[in-house]
Order: sequence, then structure tokens, then C-alpha cells
Amino acid sequence: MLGELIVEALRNLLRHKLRSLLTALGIVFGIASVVAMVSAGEGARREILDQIRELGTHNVIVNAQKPPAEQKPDKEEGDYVLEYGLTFHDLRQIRATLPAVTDALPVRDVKDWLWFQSRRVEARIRGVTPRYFERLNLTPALGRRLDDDDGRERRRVCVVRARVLQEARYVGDPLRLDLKIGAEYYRVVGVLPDFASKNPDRAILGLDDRALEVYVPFETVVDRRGLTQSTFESGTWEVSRVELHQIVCTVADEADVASAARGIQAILGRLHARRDYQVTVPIELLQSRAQTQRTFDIVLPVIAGIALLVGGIGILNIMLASVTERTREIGIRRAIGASHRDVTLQFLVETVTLALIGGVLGVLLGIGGSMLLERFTDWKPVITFGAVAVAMGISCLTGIVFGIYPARRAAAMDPVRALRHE
Amino acid sequence: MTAPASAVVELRAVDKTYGTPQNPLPVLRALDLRVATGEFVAVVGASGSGKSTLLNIVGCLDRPTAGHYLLVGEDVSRLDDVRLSHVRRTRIGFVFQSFHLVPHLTVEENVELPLFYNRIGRRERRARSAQILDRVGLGHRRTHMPNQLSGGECQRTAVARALVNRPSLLLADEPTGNLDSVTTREIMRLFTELHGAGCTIVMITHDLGVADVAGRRIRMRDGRIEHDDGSAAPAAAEGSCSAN
Ligand SMILES: Nc1ncnc2c1ncn2[C@@H]1O[C@H](COP(=O)(O)OP(=O)(O)O)[C@@H](O)[C@H]1O
Ligand SMILES: [Mg+2]
Repeated sequence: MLGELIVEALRNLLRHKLRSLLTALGIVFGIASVVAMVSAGEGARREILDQIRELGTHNVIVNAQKPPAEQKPDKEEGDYVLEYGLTFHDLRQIRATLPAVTDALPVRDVKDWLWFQSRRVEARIRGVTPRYFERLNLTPALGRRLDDDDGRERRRVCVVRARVLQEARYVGDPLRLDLKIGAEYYRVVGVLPDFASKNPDRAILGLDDRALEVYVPFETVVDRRGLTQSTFESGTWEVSRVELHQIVCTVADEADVASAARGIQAILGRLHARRDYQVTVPIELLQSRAQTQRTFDIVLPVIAGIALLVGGIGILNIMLASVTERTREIGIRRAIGASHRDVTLQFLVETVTLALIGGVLGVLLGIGGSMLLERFTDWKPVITFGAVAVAMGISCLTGIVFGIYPARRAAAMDPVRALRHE
Repeated sequence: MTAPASAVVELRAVDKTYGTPQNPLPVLRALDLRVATGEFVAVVGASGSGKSTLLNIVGCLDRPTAGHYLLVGEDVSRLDDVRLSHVRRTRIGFVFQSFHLVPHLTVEENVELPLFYNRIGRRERRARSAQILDRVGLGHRRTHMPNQLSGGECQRTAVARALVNRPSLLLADEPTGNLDSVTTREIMRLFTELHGAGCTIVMITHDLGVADVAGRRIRMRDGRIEHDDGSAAPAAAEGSCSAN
């Protein structure tokens, strides 16, 4: 019965193809904007999630920070050593006093040159422990992570970002490459994929989007490079001594992350005379970014609502005209035995069908629009089944809301007068 | 005794008033009418005398302002829309002067409409419309559109549509008013055959020749029955207008 009403509605709509299309246009654009906006919003949401996941939602990250007010006493004293940052003692204290922190991992960074024949590229050499890979969800695309034996035996092995190989213009088997870091060769045992997208929060890990990173065993770095490092900064050589550049603390329960971060702050506050460290909680970043996202979530339905209101009024207008135009048909159907309900249903089905056709076209247009967004902007829209379902639901609802009045008007006609209408 | 109860139509003191309460416009006044099963009644009278209004009430398209209407023994004068629609599609078949076919539906789809509203499935609808279209001689026009038909064919389609539900009562409002004399005779032959098969018919006409075909003539004037031949003996005791 309903199926036949839909077929009948389609036939009626097809009798006036252009008019139906123009009528549905409002819905088409309304739904297209809904789909495009929901997809863009979903894309942004996932991007934020991915970005935060890169830092680990269970992590508290402590970074060494060069104290801002540090003044070199005298340039003549060439052997001055700048000493700051996190220490092995900090690490031990965090591990010993905070039960909520299940894991605390040391990181040491060395800036050095990678040599590829005559070319050289400056890279960040990270000394890390094996669990660091787990905590930060680093999965090699090729080869393996660093393991405990690498550290214990102080092996000269490394895991590199794919970008490093690209810079090296190395086309052979990556796992056969001996990478020259400074004056020493390290065997590549694993390759990490490059970053999928930009992430402003990556700086919290001490990283940037260039992805020129080389991971080596923590013990190897300490052993071979010592704890002092000379760098050439703004025209002068600077000698600094930093024991640990980063400590990655992991909390078992996401709910305890904030309090664990306060505990870490308290410990470091006691142990450090200066602010030469910074504590960052990735999950708090997520929350503040999600807040920004929420603004978008409010604007979206408002815009979509206006678009659909306009589309719905267009449908209402045409359906009212159609009802008047078909007065005699309505009279005939009533004389033959159609009840109020039959007539209401017929016109309602016709309006909803029209709205759903508009919805389908709108979804297609929205998907197309999202693809264009993806191509020409750095947005990454994600079209979900949910978004399409919601869009179709909204168009159906628009059809019902704006179809009910014309349908009732059709049904309320006096059959005798409708039959006489010409 | 079933004889008195076998009246298909029984109107008792029916009034129909249009206009406003301040300015009432009476169209039917205290009208009594009884049509027995199997009768063929022709209603004649001047234009504006209330014939169509009477027929619309008899056809349950309209309700009397006052009085009672019993259709096959059931009082339908105060039924709500859903019930009245149900009565229309099970008991009544309508034929109009200007055919009133739905222009964008084919002949058979027009004929099937009353069956559709009776929630009868597609296949049975198709079978019954085919049968009845054969009966009125339009078997070869099933998939034509109304605008491809002659006036006579249109009216035969309308008759087929009126009969497809096997109604108790066939109502026709000037069915030959738009037809030439040849097709008028065709349609009247069809009506006569239906009457012969036991169908109860009430027909409005201006054409006295047409009215002569009916067994009983009623003349209306100013909303009243001015003259009534009186009930002739019913042709048969058949209860409905079947297609055979
Ligand atoms: N809906 C209506 N509103 C007001 N007057 C009406 C309406 N329908 C019919 N009439 C009036 O009722 C009278 C009888 O009409 P009708 O039954 O159509 O007459 P007939 O069919 O005998 O020509 C006419 O004067 C007509 O103008
Ligand atoms: Mg009339």
C-alpha cells in the first residue's frame, strides 16, 4: 500500500520534472551543507583525536626547558657550562613517590648531522627506552622497535622516520642501511611512518613536522655522547649539560592523569630552584580543543536549520499550489471512496518523497563538496554513515513538517465542491 | 417479512440548507424518498431544483442538514468521514456528466482506484478491472490514457469504475449530458443491461427520452419531489450491481 503510494508519488513528480527539481533544490542545498559541514566537523574531530593520541591520552609529558632569565656571567670564561633541565634524580623521585604513575621513561636528545655522502642533514637523535615506543604509539612500518638488549649491550642501532631515508635518497633495503650520525655508523633496524598530518602539539614532544628523527637506545646515547653537548647558537658555541630532556610519565587510569600531573609539579617544584622544566598533559589539550570544536557544533545546526527552513518553505509553497491544481482529482478520489486519511497520506507521501529525493541529491552534492574541500583545503572531511543517515532523516522530517499542511488542506476539501471545481 | 426492508435508499424528511444561519439557502426541503432494490429511477427537473444535491446525499458525498438517510437499512446521515468513505467505496458507484476520470492515470488504473481504496491487492485489482473493462467493451483500451478516448469510451470507463466494487447502488448525474445521440444510446443500453441484471440505479437526466428507459420517473422542483411515478415492481431481488 505504502509502496504503491510511493510509486504513484514518483510518477506524479516525474510528470513535472523541472518543477520537482526546482522545488527540491532548497532541500538539496540544505542537505548538502549539512553533509559537508558534518563531514568537515567529523574530520576536524578525528584530527584532534589523532593528534592527541600521538601524545598519548594517558601520558604526562615533562620537558626540560632552558630557564629564560639565565645570563651567562662572562664571555671571557670560555669553559662556562649551562646546566639545566631534568635529572636522573627527578626520574627516580617521580617513580618512587607517585603510585598513580605506572611508568616514567627518560629521553635524551642530541642534535647532530646525518651524513649522506657529501650532503648533511641536521637531525634530532633521541635516546629512548623500548617502552617509549609503546607509550607514544610508535609502530614501525618496517623492521622492529628498539628492545632491551639494544640498550643493555649499548648497540649502535636506530629506528628512523621514513623521511630520513628520503632525505638520504636511499632506495635500497632500509634495514641494510648503516646511517652515519656524526662520526659513527648506526645500523637501521626499523622505519617509522612519517606523520600523517600536521600537529601543532607535536612540539610538546620536542618534535616538529619535519620528521627528521632518529631513535637510538637511551643507554647508547648516554654512553657515547656523555651528558654535555656543544651547540653553535646565535654566533657562539654554547656548552650545556642536560641530563634528561624529557620524562614521559604514564598513568594507568585516565581519570588520575590530572592529579598525577599535579603530583609531578609538586615534586619538581621541590627539587628545582628554577623553572627549567614544563609539565604538559595531552588530555587537557584535547579537552580545550574539543571546546573549540563545540562552537562549530552549535553553528552547524543553525546554518543547516536555516537552509532547510528555506527549502521546506519552497516545498510547502509548491505543494499548496499542486493541491489547488489537483482539486478535481481530489474530489474524484473522495467520490470513489478515499477517506480523509487516504488523501492526507497520498499528498504527504508525495511531499516526503520529493524531500527524500532532494535529500539523496543533497547527500551526493555534499559528498562531492567534501571531496573538493579535501582537495583544495587542508581540511580532512570524513563522511560517516551516521552523517548520511542524519541527513536523510532531516530531509524526511522536513518533508513531513512542510507536507502536513498542504496534505491536510487537500483532505479537508468538501468533495462536492472539489468535484465542481474547474 | 423482508419486503419493506429491501429498500436500498430511504430518505426521511431530509433537509439540505446552504448559506449562513443569517441567510439560509434551502436546497432540499423535507424530502422523502424510497428506492427499492432493483429499481431504475430517473430524476428529472429544472436546473437548480436540487437534483445533484439529492444525488450527492444519496451517494454519501454530502450529509443532510436535517432528517435521516437509511442506506440498505443503515442510518448513514450522521456518520463521520472515515465511515462515510467506507460506505461510499463499498456501497456506491458514481458516474458523472463530465466523466471525472483522473487524467494522468490509464483506463485500467482509473477503474482500479476504488479497489485500491478498498485495500485490494494489485493482482486481484488487475484481474477485476480487466474483467469489467471487457464487460463494458473496453478490453482493448486498458492502457490508454483518458485523453486518448472518445466521450463514450470515457463514460464507459467511468461506469466500469463505478461497478468494479459491486456496489448496492449505481448513481449517475446526467451521464449522457456530454454525449452525442449515438453514444447516448450506447450508454443507455449498458444501463438497461445492468438494470436487467438486478442493479439498482438512480440517474439524473435532462433528456426525457433517456428518462423513459427507467422504470420510474421523479420530477423535482425547488427542492421537493413534484411528481413520482411510484415504485414499479422491482426487476429482480439481486442485491448488488455485479459485472456479469
Ligand atoms: N455548495 C453550495 N453552496 C451554496 N449553494 C449551493 C451549493 N451547492 C448547490 N447549491 C445551490 O443549490 C441549488 C441546487 O443545486 P443542484 O443540486 O446542483 O441543482 P441541479 O443539479 O438540480 O441543477 C442551486 O441553486 C445551487 O446554486
Ligand atoms: Mg446538477
